[in-house]
Amino acid sequence: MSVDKDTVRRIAKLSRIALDEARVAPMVDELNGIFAWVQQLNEVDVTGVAPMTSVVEQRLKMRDDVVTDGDAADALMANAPEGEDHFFVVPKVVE
Amino acid sequence: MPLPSSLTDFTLADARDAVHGKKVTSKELTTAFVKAVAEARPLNAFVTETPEKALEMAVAADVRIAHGQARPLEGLPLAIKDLFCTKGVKTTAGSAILGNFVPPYESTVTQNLWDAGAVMLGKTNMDEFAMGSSNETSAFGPVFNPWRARNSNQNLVPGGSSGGSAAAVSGHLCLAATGTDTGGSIRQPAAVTGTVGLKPTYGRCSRWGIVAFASSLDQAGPMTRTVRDAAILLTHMASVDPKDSTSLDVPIPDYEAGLESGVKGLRIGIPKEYRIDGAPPEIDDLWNKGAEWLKAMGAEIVEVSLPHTKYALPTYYIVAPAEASSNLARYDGVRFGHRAKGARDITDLYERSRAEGFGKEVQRRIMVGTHVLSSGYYDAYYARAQKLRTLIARDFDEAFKRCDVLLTPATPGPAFGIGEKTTDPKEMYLNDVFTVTVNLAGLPGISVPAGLTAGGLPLGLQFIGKAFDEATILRAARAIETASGFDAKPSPWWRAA
Amino acid sequence: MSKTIKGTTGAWEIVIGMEVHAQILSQSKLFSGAATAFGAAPNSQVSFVDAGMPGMLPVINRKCVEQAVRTGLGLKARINLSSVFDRKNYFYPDLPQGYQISQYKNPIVGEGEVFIDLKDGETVRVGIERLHMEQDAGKSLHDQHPDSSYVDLNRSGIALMEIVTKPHMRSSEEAAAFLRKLRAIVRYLGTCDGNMDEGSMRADVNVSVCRVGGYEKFRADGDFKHLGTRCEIKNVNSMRFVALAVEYEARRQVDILEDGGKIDQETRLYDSKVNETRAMRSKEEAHDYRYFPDPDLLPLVLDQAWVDAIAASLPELPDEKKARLIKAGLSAMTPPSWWRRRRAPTISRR
Repeated sequence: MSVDKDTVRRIAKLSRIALDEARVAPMVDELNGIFAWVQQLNEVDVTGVAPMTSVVEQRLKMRDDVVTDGDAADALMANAPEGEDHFFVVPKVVE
Repeated sequence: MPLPSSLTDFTLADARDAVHGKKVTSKELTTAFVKAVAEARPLNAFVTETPEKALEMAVAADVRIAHGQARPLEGLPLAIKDLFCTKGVKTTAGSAILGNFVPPYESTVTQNLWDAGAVMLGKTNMDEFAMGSSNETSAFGPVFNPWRARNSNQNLVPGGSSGGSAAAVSGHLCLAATGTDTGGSIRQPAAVTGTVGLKPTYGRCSRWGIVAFASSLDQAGPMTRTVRDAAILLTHMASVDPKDSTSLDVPIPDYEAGLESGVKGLRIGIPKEYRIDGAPPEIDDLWNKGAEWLKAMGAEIVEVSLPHTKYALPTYYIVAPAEASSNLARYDGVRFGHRAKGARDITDLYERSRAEGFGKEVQRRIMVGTHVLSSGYYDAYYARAQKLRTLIARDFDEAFKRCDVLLTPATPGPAFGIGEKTTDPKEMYLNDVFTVTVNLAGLPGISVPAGLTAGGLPLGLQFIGKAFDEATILRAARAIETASGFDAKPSPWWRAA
Repeated sequence: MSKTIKGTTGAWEIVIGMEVHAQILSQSKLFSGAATAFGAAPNSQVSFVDAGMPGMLPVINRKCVEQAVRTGLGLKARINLSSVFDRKNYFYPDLPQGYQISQYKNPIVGEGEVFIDLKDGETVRVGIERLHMEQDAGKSLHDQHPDSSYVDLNRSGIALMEIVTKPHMRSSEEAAAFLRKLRAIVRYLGTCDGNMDEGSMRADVNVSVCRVGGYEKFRADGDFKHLGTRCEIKNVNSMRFVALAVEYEARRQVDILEDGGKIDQETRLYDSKVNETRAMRSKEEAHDYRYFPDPDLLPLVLDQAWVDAIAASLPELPDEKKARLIKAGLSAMTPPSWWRRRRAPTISRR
């Protein structure tokens, strides 16, 4: 199941990573190297094996329904590249 | 107890006794380490040094000690891997994408350490987002191993991803350090720097406030110069954390307590699949020697089989990138971190911020992870890998019916040269061949220095324990430490540099 | 109201299914301790978890789980004692983590049913496909600045129930009646305040049209090929708009089909100002959500005894009330009026 240039472009798009055209071909080779290597998992018969969902054998913790957090807009915005009036600001989004 | 010739030669345990016994003040000790850190800048072990904070904490510690209110780690200076969020102190995860991120919160593990009285010397360099085995993927440059081969000036890698912490411990720039281990990132650097590194059972240390790489594999642990120090530090890093749904609801024992109980009657499993083709003979020799030492001390050696071992690395390189691709989606230039300038629209902002902010290896892994989760490939890659994980965990269950701990090599070789393994990513991945199985199964593992290569570089042995049973691997590692008498130290060439 | 639309080439049937997002009534969010109150100052009810800050982890709110189970029981649905939270991955400025925690393959509630009462006295059963829990996203404001959008994360992480029906509704009247009944049920249960104007209940309405007889065939063998291509109308936020949007959309589809065209499966928005639906502009590449189990959470496993205790605490629901009143000799002529007056529940704030 090797990838081609179009697939790599699609993966980059899905990953939201700008990939210069010059980097597409080398990336095809790098990814195919890795995918060819992981193909060895196909040797193993996994019929009837359940996928691991968690290495921890315990019940999911639940919290009580109380407000313990929030109300920290200043701290929240402190690292923001762009903000105004406690809003994060991004280039206009079209729906 | 005599004081060592240099305060930076203290072990954590001895420093604790000296500081709490008022033979040395925390300020004196901390000042010595602050100086050592500054002198060691050629190693590039720290991304951020926090000398003022360190001295402030030391002075406060001395006050508590004077008032008889010393806490377990009162006044003891530590280094913190830059993956742990530290409130008010820049946290980078070794990446440019976090930019000048200053967390408004403190990770549970570091909070536990400060609550126990520890002092922070600074944040250590690491592979970007903990993705690497040589510390060469850091946006802040590689870290140099304090060790060099005999009669050589070649700079070697300190392993990774906790390479800065390993170098800081090995170079006596701190008493001990924190690390994190997703596929071997504590144990592998510990092994190639002659230090002790312990990855606890998954869930033993809270992941809250640790920048996530692969959530089902990440685990914090101690990096120290002795096994006793690892036991002490783990005791104070671990906690039951209501803020982490995967943190274990199991009480934390005092790991230091049973350390000297020896290995008499302990069944040591030797997994035959860990003898790999192409490993230098020194690796096998050391492994055999380790087994002989344990046998001589009364342990029983049992050969066991972990049949799916060879599939662990490829399984890891599906699961870890898949989780990472999702965990790293939050670095989008919107709420924190690097944002590309002059974006045309929101998609352009995402794509360029991420292309500029993430390094090559991180981009590669995000793309691998995105692909293996995508429609039409999920079953062939991700679902299959998670099934392999079940089989790998089952192998350990079977093996532990016949033994109490497993003994294996820690790495396939000693530290290698900077730039030696950067062409083919798979070659780099092989560094974790002995450590990665443990993460996939969620088990505890420890790397302990056991000898030197002919060239004079340290090598480690690894013990793997049953889930929750850090105590037994610590006890076994302590036995190896005693038997090997390992006390070699790197010569501080960097001070002349 | 008729279930068919007359066209120039003959009659068409409307088929409607719905995905309703209902905000779970709770004090704090699904995975964080931030407050859920409506109308707070921007980003004032946001924990670092809700903002997707590095190293932050989700811990589930027990009350939200209980509310989802309670709603499932109210819908006479099967409660799944084991369910799984998955990550739905996509990029959007008001989705801070880059993924939404949702339930994909293993939802907490399975099949159930809702009975709707029509004006003519007819009662129609609408099958419920499933109910799952998920996080809400934040809110993007596009009208504050000519070149920028403003992001407020107060909603980010609020618990939602997504209630998915089977395509069992046949007219705009049925669609509106379903939503009205569902709102009454959650209000009786106290699991959602049902305030559509505050966004605590929103409907995505799936509309398709087919030739008369197609629906019967679909009901007989369950094969969707008997039905037409559907369009999803996103985020309709009032009963009236649901009816209007269905009317408009069905007519639009019939017109296209009668002109020899074909329907594109797409997501549309209902614009109440001009009473029409239009395709969303931000389609870009096809979505690939890359669902996988969230490794920060374990499977959600419930005890049957806990579920039974919730079941035992359910209040009298609209259908039971109706049955009781009829038995008591009251006429069944205008059933909705008995339960519609019920006020929106609130949750007491400490």
